[in-house]
Amino acid sequence: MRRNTRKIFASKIARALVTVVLMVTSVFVLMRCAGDPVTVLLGPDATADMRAAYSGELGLDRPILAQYLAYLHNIVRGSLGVSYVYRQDALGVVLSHLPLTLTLTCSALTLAALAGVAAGIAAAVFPSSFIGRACTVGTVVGLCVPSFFLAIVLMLVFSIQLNWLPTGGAESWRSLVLPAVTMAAASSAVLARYTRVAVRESLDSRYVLAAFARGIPFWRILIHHVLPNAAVPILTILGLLIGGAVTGSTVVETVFSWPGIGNLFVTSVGNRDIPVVQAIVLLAGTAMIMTNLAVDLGYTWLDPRSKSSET
Amino acid sequence: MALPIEPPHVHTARASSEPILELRNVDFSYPAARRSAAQVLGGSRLHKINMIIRRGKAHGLIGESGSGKSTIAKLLLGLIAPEAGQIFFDGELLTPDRLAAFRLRVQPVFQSPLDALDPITPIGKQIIAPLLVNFKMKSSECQARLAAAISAVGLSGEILGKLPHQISGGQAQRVNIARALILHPEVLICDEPVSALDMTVQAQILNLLSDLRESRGLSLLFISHDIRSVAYLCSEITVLKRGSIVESGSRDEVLLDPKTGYMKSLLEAVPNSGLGLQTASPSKPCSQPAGRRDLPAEG
Amino acid sequence: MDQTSSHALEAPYARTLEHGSAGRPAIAAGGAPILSITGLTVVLAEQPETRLLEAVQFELRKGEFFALVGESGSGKSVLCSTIMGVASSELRCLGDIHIEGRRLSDVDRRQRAMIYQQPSLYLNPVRNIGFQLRETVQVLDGLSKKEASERAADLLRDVGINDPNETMRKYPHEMSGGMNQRVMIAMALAMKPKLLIADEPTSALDVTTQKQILDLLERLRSDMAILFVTHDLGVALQRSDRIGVLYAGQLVEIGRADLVARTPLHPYTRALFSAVPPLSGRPRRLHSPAGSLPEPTQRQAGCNFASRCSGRLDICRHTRPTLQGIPQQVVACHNLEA
Repeated sequence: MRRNTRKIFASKIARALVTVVLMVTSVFVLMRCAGDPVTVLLGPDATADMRAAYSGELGLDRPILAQYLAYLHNIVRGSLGVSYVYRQDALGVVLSHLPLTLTLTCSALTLAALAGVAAGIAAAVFPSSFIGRACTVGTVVGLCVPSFFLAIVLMLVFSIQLNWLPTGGAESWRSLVLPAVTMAAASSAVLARYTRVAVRESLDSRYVLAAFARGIPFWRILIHHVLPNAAVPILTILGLLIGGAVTGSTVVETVFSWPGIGNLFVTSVGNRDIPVVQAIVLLAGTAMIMTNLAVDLGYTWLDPRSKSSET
Repeated sequence: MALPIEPPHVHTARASSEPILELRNVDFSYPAARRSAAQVLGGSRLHKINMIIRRGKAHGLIGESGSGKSTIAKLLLGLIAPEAGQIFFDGELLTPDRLAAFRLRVQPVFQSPLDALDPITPIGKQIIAPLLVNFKMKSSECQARLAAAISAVGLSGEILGKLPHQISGGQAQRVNIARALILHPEVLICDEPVSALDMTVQAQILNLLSDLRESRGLSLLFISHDIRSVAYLCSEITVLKRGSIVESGSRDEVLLDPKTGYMKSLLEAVPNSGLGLQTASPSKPCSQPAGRRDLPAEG
Repeated sequence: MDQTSSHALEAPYARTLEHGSAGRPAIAAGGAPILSITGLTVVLAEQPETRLLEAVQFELRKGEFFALVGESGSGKSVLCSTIMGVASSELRCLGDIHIEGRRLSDVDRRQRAMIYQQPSLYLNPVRNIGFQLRETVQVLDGLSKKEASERAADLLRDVGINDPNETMRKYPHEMSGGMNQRVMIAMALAMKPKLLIADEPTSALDVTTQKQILDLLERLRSDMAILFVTHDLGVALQRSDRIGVLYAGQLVEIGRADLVARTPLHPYTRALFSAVPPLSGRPRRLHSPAGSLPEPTQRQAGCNFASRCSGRLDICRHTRPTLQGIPQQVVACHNLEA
């Protein structure tokens, strides 16, 4: 069994690496499809001399395969070109914005996970009680209200009317509260819905019925039988949310002027800072693949059946 | 029981005991990736399977779970290919290019009748679907075949507009048999067709299969772990244990004079082997431990 | 479709049975009844006129093996879950269930245990056997973890599992149906129940495994009463002391197993016996009554079997028969001369 597990882990990691290579390649192809990079960089008014000089400098006059290999070589060395705006290594620019985005997404997701899973369990266990109904209504509202609208409402109430929290920036923990809550709202609603379904399904299962018939107390059944079974679908959704959070923070970061990667992405697109955009896309893609890998590995830990079934 | 509207098959004119399906030295094992799951269930590896299903006869295949019964069904339906050995249909070697034609002449009936039906399509449409897909047949001819198939399995026309959840398990199994019959097959491969049904419904379906065999000259491969239904329906019986055939022969040979300890133990495990017995049998099928209320065969 | 032949079968049964042993030497099934059900009627809470069980009445004594025979839709499962106290909240129960003379609501839950047809569905797939068994023992007896492990191993040995420690590390999907059923029985035994309800525990198993499980239950029965739900008449006849036949929510016949088999009095019981394929001898046509069990919503005032019965009288259409007869065999039928 243990050898089998190791084999499954190895194959999953190998698959994730292949996916990363494919992602990197498609980014290269997309960048070339988006138009002549020289025109993109220099604008349509550039002179032929400037274009030729730039092409030579960037290696754009070489065959496409050679360009691709050079691109891969650069990625392995960790150099993704020099930012057009910052005149620095693009990856360095992106990484300098990463801690703030991580702070925001981690706090938002922790909040979302706690609130969403708790609300989902409550809604599943007490479907007709006040708590259950409140959770159901709350999740619908959370799903329906767009995050920029919620952001503005929160800002109006807590910053402008009550003057408790700042409207933007990243000076102290107080500026983190509103963006984190805004981001958590939609995620927790999604999580709550899936948690409710998963817990409900497990509660209705026959092994729970049998556990009741054996006289196991309800809370024990919930913690030791229902939640371990409901964990698999919850983990799946959580994985998707984490993977999406890096890019999903764009709107919230922009609204609250939170100087993270999302904010950087928006300004870089506006500035046509291609190396930075490319670095962000590669980073976000890798993050997505890695969370999926982590979720996949999590399954084998949570559900013993996935070890012996086909990989 | 309703009689088939159509004339009997042309094939029934031929000598009725000639082999229609034959497995010769067939080996099969699932690919390594899926083996671990199969091993838990006892491993479904087939080894040197030789078996002949004769035209117009019902052939029973008995075995415990994991013995490879369903794997043989899949082989005979052309759903998987043997690793070694050959399958002959009607005296000809089954090759990949003949598979499409072959599949029309050999039709399956599976265990869970309701699972085999699409829950949102009316019954009538599901029964004629194979005709539309395979032959692009005229609608009037389709309707005629549909009526014939429905009456052959003892259903009335009103069921055609219903959805699967509106009918009973027994009716659903009749629908599955009708869907197989509409292609005018020569062989029905029945994999545990009555195991999921209630006992009186089981009897109805067994009677229906027996009638179809007699009136249409259909050949049956009847796979079951229930020795009673195999004994009732089949004139030849093959016993499978862990992927190998341990015993094969006529019903009387296998049931009354089992050669292997394995078959004896299977027979011994059938509760009340005398139950349902109506006429005297040549020998006691098995001895039972004392102290049980059994119905001994008359000797 | 198939015609009901209600008489043809009595004679051969009477004949074959004369050779059989007269009845179980009987582990004395005596004393006060362990389970006593009187006038149990179960209806849908929303539509009280839809009756899933109607006036069900029987008793089980210690050491007794009672086989309840019925087809799907007969109300077997409703009866089991009602006795276990886990019936759906959409149902309402009228009538009385007593266990050892006490009302069901006052009875300690561990007095009754249940095993099921597909044991793997009733075991938690993501917890290993050891956890589930230990948990049961710990909750029931308040043992420490170490004591619970030892008790769990003992229980597994009791049900014929020779390598309990190995088995406790396994998950349900790594074991065969027969092994899972043994584990379920071990869990039931952990409760030291007075009443064991077995809902088709062997229907999904191979015959040899079925025999092992039945032998196991046979060995355990001296300490409890077993309510064995089955649709296999062979099993019912071979193992049980008494057979009860449930049809459309009503017990239509209850009697000593040999009597029910030799002289089935209800036409439905006769139909059930005639539908069993013979194991040997020349095959004949199997008899099966036309039509099917009436749905709970479509049941009429008269006998539920009337529409499928060949010996139907006028009275059958409007008056529902009640159980009557000698103590060893009672039947709910108006036409006992048929």
